[in-house]
Amino acid sequence: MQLFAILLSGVLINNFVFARFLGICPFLGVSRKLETAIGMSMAVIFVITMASLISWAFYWFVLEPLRLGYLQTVAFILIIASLVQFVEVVILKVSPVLYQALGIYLPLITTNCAVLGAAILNIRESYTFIETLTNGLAAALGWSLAILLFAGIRERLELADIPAPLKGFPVALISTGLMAMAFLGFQGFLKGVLF
Amino acid sequence: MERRTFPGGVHVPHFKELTEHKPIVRAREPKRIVLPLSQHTGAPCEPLVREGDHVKLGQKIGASEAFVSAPIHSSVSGTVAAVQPFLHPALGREVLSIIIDSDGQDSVHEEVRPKGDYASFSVDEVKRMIREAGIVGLGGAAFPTAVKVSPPKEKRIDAYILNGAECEPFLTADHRLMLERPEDILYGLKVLMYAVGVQNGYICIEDNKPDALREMRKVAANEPSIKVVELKTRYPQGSEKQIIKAVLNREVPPGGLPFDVGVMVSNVGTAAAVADVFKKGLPLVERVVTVTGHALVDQQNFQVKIGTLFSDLIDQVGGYKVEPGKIIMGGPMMGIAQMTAEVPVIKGTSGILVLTRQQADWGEPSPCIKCAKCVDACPVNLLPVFIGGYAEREMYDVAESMNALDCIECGCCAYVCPARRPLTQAIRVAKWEINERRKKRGKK
Amino acid sequence: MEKPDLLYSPPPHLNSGDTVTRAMRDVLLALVPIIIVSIIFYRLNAIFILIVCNVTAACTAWGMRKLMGKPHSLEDLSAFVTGTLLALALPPTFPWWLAVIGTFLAVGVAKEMCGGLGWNLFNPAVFGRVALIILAPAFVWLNADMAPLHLRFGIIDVTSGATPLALLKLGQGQLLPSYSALFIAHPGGSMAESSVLAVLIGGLYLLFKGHINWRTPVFAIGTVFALTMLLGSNPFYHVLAGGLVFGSFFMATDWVTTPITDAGKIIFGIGMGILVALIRLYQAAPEGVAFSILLMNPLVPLIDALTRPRKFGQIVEARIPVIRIKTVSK
Repeated sequence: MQLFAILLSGVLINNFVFARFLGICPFLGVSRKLETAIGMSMAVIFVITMASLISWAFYWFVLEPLRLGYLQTVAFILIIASLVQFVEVVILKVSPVLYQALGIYLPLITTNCAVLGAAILNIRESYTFIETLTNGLAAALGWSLAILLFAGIRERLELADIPAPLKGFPVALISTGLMAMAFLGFQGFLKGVLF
Repeated sequence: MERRTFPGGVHVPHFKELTEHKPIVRAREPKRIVLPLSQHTGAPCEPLVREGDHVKLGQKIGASEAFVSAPIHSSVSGTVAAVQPFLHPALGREVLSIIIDSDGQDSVHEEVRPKGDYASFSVDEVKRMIREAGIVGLGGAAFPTAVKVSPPKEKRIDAYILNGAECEPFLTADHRLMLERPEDILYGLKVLMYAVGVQNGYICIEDNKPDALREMRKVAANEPSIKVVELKTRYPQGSEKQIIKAVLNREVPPGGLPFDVGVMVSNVGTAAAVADVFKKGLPLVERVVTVTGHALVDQQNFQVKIGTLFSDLIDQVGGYKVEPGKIIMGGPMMGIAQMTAEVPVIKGTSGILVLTRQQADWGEPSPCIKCAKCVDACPVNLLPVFIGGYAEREMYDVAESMNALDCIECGCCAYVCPARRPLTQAIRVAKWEINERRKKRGKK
Repeated sequence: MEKPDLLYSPPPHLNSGDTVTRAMRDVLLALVPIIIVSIIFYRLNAIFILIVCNVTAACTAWGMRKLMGKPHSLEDLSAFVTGTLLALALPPTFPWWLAVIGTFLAVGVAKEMCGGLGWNLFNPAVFGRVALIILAPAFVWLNADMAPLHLRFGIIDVTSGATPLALLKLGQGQLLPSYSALFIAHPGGSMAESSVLAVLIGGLYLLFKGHINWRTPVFAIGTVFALTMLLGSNPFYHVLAGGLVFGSFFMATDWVTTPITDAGKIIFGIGMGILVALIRLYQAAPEGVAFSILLMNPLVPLIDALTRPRKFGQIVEARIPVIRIKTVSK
C-alpha cells in the first residue's frame, strides 16, 4: 500500500511538472511534436529510474558512511552525467535499435533537473531501495504523462489565433499553469484513499 | 421496401419543387452557339472546321487522337463564325471554341441515322459508336463514357449502377428524364451493360422522387437482371463512392475508382444519350438543363442544344426577378460559380442556378468552435475541422497526413458549419497544393 | 442584357443557415428552466449573481480583445454563456467580489489569453469555478475587507444546511431528502444543483436541436452510477444530488473543450465519470464534477488523435494506435 501511495503521489498528486515544477526546460523544449515527446518520455523513464537507484546506493554506501552527506548534490550531478554517458555507450553496444530510438534525447537528459530532483527526494524521504525504485519510476511516469498531454495541446495551439505577444512560450507557460491548477484536483486523494 | 443509404452526409433542403412538376420543353432555337473544344475530362479536341465553313446538325467538328477524349459535334446547321478562345463555364478561363451562326434550318448531317439493335454489333463496335457520338458522363464530371466502359482487363466488373439519385438541390433534369423517357434510360443501360459485359444492373433513385421510382419500376418490370433501388434522400447520395456503398455495401478504396470494387456508375442522362445514338443515330448535341433559382422570374426544365449561352436560357424564363447574387453551373453543393452569364451550356451542364444576393452572401466566417458537425457530416470519415484548419494556415504536410487527398469535395462540411468557415474550399486548395508538391517531387 | 455584379467563389454555394450565435443562443435558452427554478428558490440573490457574472464576463471579453487589438465579439454571445454557466455553478449567496474574480479568470485567462472562442483548452466556466475553490485560502483577507459590502437580498434559510452529497459523506443518511424531491426541485449547494428536472429539460432541448451529442452525458452519468454502486455507495443520490447532471449536459458537452469524434466523446464521458466517482468517494471534498471535467480537458487532443475515424474504403486497420518513434541517427 505504501508503494502504491508513492506511485500515485509521484504520477498524479506531486507530479514533477505540475506540482513540483521540475524538468520544465525539456518539457517545453521537446513537446512540440507528439513523436518526439514519446521518445523523450522513454529516455526519461529509463534514466530517472536508473539514476535514482545508483544515487541511492552511492549515498547510503559511500557518502553516508564517510559522513560526506553535504557533497550529495555535487556527487549526484557527477553520477547522473557519467551515468547518461555510460548508458549511451552500453545501449549502443547492446541494442542499436533502442539507441536509434532514444538517440539525441539521452544527452539532453544530463541537464534535466527532474533527474537530480528525484535522486535528492529519495534521500530526503529516507526511502528504502524498493521505495526508491517506485518513486523514481513514478516521477518519470508523471513527467511523461505531463509531456504527452502537453504535446497534444501544443499541436493544437499551433492552430490557435493567439495574439503576437503571447505566441509561443508565453501561451505554453499559461497553459502549463492552467493544467497545474487542474492537477490540484488530485490533491487530497492520498488522505481519502490511503491514510 | 427497403431504402438504402450510406453513413454521414447531410439533409439539404432540396428546393426541387420549383421545377420537378414542369415537363421538359424545347428551348428556343439559339441564333449563335459556342462549342468549347474541351467539354470533357481528358485531352482537348482539335478543330476540324474553319471560319466560313458550312456545318450540319450532328456533324463532327472537333476530335482528338488521344484515348481519353470525346469528339464534339455541331448542334445546329449553319456557318462557322469564328474559331477563337471563349470563356469556359467549368474551367473558368478562355478555351479555344468553335462559334457557329445557326441558319435555323436544322438540316441533319448524312451520318445521323438510326444504328439499329445494339445486340447485332460486337462489343468493340458498340464502344466505338459510343465514342464517335461524343458521349460523356452527363452527371457533371463529363468523363468519356467509351473510356469508362473499357476498364483494365484484370478488373472483373459484376454490377452496373445507373445513378438517378440527383441529390443536388434544385436540379430536376434527371428526374424529368426518368418520368418522360424511362424506356430510353432502360435501353441505354442495357447497351452499357452489354458493352461492359455485366449481368446486374441497378437503377438507383432517391425516395423524394416516388413518381420516377414508379415509372422506372414499370418499365423495368420485365427485366430480371435490372433492379430499381430506392435510396434515402441524403446528400451526397449521388456521389459515386456513396452510391456504391449504399447499393452494394462495397467501399471504394482511398484513391481508387469504382472498377476496383467491380462496379461501373453512370448517370441516367448518359444512358438516355446512349439510347439516342442507337435509336436515332444522334450524337450528343442536346441535353436536359434545369434553369432554376429564386432570383429568376420563372424556372424551367429545358431540352437545350449544347453551345446555347446561359444568358439566352435565362432570358427565356423571363430574366431576373431580383438582383442575382451568383450564377452557378450545376447544383449549389458542387456547381461552379460563373463570372458572367455569357458562357455556353456544355455537355456537363446539368443546371443553371441563379441565387439571390442574400442566398449567395455568407458574411464573414467566425472562429471555429469545434462543434464537430463537419465530422459527423463527412461521408468519407475525414476530420474537416482539422484538415481545413491546417489548410488555412498553409500547413499542407499536416493536412496531407490527415488524408486531405481522400476528400470528395461534396461540400457537406462547409454546408453544416455554423461558423461559415470555407472548409471545402480550403481543403480543395490543400489538395491542389499537395498534388503540385508530389508532381515536383516526382520530377526530382 | 444588363451585366449583373456577380459573386464568384468555389462551391458549396449553400449553407445550413446555422450560426455560432444561434447555437450560443440555444444554450442560453436551454438554461432558462434552471434559471427560473433558481429565481423561485433564491429570489433576488439569484438574479444578482447572474447579473454580476454576465456583466463581468462581457466587460472582460470586451477589454481583453481591445487590449489584444482584436475586434470585439460580444455578438456571438459566448461571453454570456460562460457568465451564466459560472453563475449557476455558484451558491446563491456567494460574495459578489469573488464572483467577479472568478468570471474574470474564466473569460480573461482561460479563454481570451488562450486565443479566444474556439481555442481555449479548458472549459472557461469550469475553470472559473475551480479557480475559486483553489484560491479560496488566498481570499481570506479580501473577504475580511469586503465583508461590509456583502449584499444580501432576503434571508435564505434553506442553504444553511449541508448538501445531500455532504450528508452522504458524513454518513447522515437519515437527513437526506427523497429521490423525487431531489429530482424535481431541492434547494441547496450551487444554483444549478437545485433541480435535476429543470437541467434535464434544457439538456433535452439541446439534444433535440442537435447541438450536443447524447454520448457524453449518458456515459458520464452511467459511469458514475455504475461505479458508485460497485463501490458500495448509493448510486441514486450520486446521480441526483450535486452537479453531475448539470456538468454532464452543459459543461462536458462544450464543443470547444471536448473530443470531436463519437468514440472520443464516449471516452471523455467514461473518464469524467470515473474521476467524479473517485473524487466523491475517496477525497475530502464531497463534490468533484468541476475538477473531473477540468482534468479531462487536457486529454482531449490525445483522445482526438487516438480516435481518428477509419478512412472510407480502408479494408482493415489495427484498432490499437501504433506509436511511431522517429529514428534519429547521430
